[in-house]
Amino acid sequence: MKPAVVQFSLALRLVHWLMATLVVAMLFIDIAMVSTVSEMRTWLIDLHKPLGVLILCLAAIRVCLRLIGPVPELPADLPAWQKWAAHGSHLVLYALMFALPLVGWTMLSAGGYPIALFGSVHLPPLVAVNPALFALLRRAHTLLALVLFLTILMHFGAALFHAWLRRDGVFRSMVPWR
Amino acid sequence: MDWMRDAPLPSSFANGSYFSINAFRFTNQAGETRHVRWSLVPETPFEALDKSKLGELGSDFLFEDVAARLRQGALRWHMVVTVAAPGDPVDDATKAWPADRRQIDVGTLTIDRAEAEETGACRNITFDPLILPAGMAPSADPLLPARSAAYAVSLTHRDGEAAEPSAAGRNPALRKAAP
Repeated sequence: MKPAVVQFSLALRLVHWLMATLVVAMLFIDIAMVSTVSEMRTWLIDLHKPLGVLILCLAAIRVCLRLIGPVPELPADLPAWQKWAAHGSHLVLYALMFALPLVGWTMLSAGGYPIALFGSVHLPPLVAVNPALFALLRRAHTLLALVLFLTILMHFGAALFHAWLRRDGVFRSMVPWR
Repeated sequence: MDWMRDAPLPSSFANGSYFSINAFRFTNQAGETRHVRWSLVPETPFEALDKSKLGELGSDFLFEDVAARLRQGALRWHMVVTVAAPGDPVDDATKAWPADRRQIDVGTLTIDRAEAEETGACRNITFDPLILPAGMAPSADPLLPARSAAYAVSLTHRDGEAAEPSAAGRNPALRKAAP
């Protein structure tokens, strides 16, 4: 029997903290972006799009890393509902890391918007122009972003619960150091 | 309101000029950038609307007029670019530039047919002033990002509602105009 791992792989831990920084920055960019009509809005949207694509790429790398290596088990004495909540929220986080950039990209395609990343670098449209789809995805993009914000708050709360109250090694399994 | 009462207004969509309002930055192939405003100036000679007769006109008279004109032939406008001189206000659409600024006729817009809104390509377009081709860029006018933001919200609302016939689209005379 192989010894159980107590930490996520270094690569997974680095991608986790890099993405945590980018996603939290993204959420603040978004809130600033939709709360102003000044030139800051244009500037933030220009930042939002390449950042979204970067997060999508990192999410793809992260899923591969997650699938190829062993991951630490949750403590055996953790109540079943908390294990369920942990696995469920992780699944939601992974799903949203893909869903938000892809919904955004599809939404801009359906609205007939150019999808400019930087300079003259444009992404190709994912779907043909479709007004009803644009309206649906535009609203879904906002709703999913709010769900992501809430899930991250729960994730953050649970991390501190493990770090400070349970002190059960779950938090240590993701810290960037050994 | 004084202006609407006193200024001569075009009697038709076809004989009016249309203005960019805000300034933009145009860059030529040599990489030189100038602040400009542009207007689309009709080939159809200007005729003033007789405001004393407005009450006798139907609510769709402008649409019926342009549809009738298009049945006679294409309508043309020239895109005239007005170049700012140093010191002209380029970030405030409410300030006019002096009339003697250099003007360049850069192209012709030809409209040869009209389509009903319900079946045409315009209903779900956003006229976002920040979606610009290479060589054209926004000025620092704060109205531009505000227009972009408001139009994006408007597009989401329009795209999300059922396509009701427009007022003009319920007019049988105009439905005939659509090929």
